[in-house]
Amino acid sequence: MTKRIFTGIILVALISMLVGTGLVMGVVYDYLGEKIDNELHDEALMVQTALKLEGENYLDVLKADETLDSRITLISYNGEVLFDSEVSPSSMENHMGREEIEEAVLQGEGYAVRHSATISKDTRYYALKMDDGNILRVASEHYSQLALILDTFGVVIIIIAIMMGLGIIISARITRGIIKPVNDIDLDAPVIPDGYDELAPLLQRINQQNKKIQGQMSNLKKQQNEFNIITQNMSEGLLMIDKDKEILTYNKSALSLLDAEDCNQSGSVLQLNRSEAFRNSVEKALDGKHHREMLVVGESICEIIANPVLDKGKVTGAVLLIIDVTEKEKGEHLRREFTSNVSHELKTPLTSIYGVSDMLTTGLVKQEDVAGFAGTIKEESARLISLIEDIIKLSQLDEESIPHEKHPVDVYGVAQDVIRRLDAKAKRENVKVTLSGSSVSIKGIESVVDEILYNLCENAIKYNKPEGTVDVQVNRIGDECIIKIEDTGIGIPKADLSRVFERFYRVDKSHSKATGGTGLGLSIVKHAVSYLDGTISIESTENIGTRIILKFFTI
Amino acid sequence: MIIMRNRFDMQLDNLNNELITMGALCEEALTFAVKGLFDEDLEMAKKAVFAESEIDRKEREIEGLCMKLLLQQHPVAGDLRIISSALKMISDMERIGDQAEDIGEIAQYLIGHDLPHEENLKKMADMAVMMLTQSIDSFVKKDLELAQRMILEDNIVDDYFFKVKEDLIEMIAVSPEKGQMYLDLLMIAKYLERIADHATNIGEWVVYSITGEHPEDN
Repeated sequence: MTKRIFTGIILVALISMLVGTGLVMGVVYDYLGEKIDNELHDEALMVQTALKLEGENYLDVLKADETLDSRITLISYNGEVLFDSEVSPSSMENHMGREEIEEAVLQGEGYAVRHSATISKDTRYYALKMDDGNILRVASEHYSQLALILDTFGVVIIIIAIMMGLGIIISARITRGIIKPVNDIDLDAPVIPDGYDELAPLLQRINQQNKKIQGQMSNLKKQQNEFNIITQNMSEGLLMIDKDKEILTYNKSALSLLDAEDCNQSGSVLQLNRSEAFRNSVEKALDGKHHREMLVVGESICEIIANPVLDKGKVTGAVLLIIDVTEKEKGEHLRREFTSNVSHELKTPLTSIYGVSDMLTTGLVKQEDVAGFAGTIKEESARLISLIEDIIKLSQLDEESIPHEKHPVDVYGVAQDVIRRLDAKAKRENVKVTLSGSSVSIKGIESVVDEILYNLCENAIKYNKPEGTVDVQVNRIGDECIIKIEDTGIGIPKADLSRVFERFYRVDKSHSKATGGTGLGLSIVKHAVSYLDGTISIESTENIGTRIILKFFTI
Repeated sequence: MIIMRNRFDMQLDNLNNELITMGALCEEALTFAVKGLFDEDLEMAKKAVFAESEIDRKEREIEGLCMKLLLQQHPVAGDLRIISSALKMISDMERIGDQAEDIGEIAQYLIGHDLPHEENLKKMADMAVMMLTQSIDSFVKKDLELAQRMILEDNIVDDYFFKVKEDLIEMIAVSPEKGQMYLDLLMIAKYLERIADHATNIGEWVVYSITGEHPEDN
């Protein structure tokens, strides 16, 4: 704008100067012409008077006068040149057709101007009809308009240059003066400066737009905040990318699930993870296809759900949802393991029952062996029943379908009862079982507490060494009932410690029948303890012993 | 805020993405090869061999991209450094792919044989995998410090190579009838050592693309 105003002013100045100069030149030329005409008129009158007084002799004087500026010609009434102060009259043509002569013949005097392009000069003529009918013509040469301009060109240019210089300085100042108030306008809160009323509609519009933009911005910010709050608090990872695989946004969960470092929400998405599964998901989504894939990150397993973002049928980006499915996958794995274990555990006794009964049916068994075979069927059936009972107990605890009414249970009393029942077994295994502590009551179900203690004590005896001990302590500490069951048995290897509560998990893996049991005992204990809102912890050293600590709230 | 990006920037981003992908392919190929060798997993060993052609294809793609950028955009200063180091990096990556393929091939033959004293070789392989991961990481994150640290780790792999070599010499002396297998293992150790060298080169090009100075010049 500054430039435009500046050039505008300069242009106006230049045009005015040129036009002014031209006009002045014209006026000067006219004035000079008029003045010359007057002089020619006066001179003609003088020559006429002299001719009257001195006659033909005066013409000779004129001819001899070298200082004479003007050209004097005497022409007869029929146009024949009688005398000329510069050229011989005989060489001159008839002058009757000349404009000034014709005028003088008719009106007594005549003026004419003739331009000679070759010498860039104008010749002004004045013709006077004398009393004797002859015509006296006086002529004078002077510069033409163009010559006048060309003659003064250098000076004019210098003047124009000076004027331009001044013009530039002044225009710059003026321009600055005009622009400054406009520049000083605060566009956030525009105030119309004095003398700039023309800007009023524009500034008012800006004001309105400002308000509108502020409103929209605050709305957008609000929405952005809401979006951020929602996405940042999502446990699922959310990741958005554009079609060039550049990150648009992600939430904290995405970073933690991908185990990636923060990269300020910018750059290539492959910074976060570059595994095949991840790349594949990104590629597929940017190809416009919905894609799901499992991604292993360290110890955990994530599921990536990748969806393309389409705009008018064109892919403009992709949204990736990352879900932690570690627990689900593990659960699934456990479930499959449980199913296969249950089938195996159920099938083993059934197979032997079937085999034995088959032999009995076909009469292949000698009479004296029938009792023995029947015993096997009984044993295996008993094992099957106990297995099914255990599974039922577990599913009851799982489903929480055991009667809900909880009554005060004396843990010490239950422990005494359990130890009494296991006495025979302990003696058989040559293990000494001791009980210490005091009577502590908890709110629970007696059969469940009995189940817990029976299972744990039975294990402690079963997996003990000959001459070993099992020490059961029941104590009250604060408002907690602490039950410790310590044995001096074979212990559990460290690697298996975290898995002993899993269904059918056995440390010895052989599923041998030597120790009996179903492999569900500790799993039942764990479920039963949590059913009674208690906790169980286990410490063990291989070949030294195991210590199990149970904690329940007392009444 | 919408950021206007010009075509050149987009092409550079594309180059970056392609380089990360190629790096990831190399990591995968090496991991497959090492798994195939130590877990005696035939599938993995085959995957390592298969990955090589993919890596080669990626190399040609990236090379074409770099040439296009050089010819059409006439990059200068930092941009030129990025492209020239990309060209160098892809040849190192391509070599890594080749060597992972070689390890994969040997691993296929070794399945079923008991690898003797594999401890040092295993440590060496883990170290090489780690160095490669770090070199690609340093490129992805433009992490100068990580790149410089990684370059120094090359010596550890070299030391392991000598240990493995000594182990194998001893073993050949004890049971010369298994000489063929020991030589195969020596080849694998050499490949791993070369892979570590190429990873170091990648790290050096990362340093160069960030600072403009190649570490070996100092």
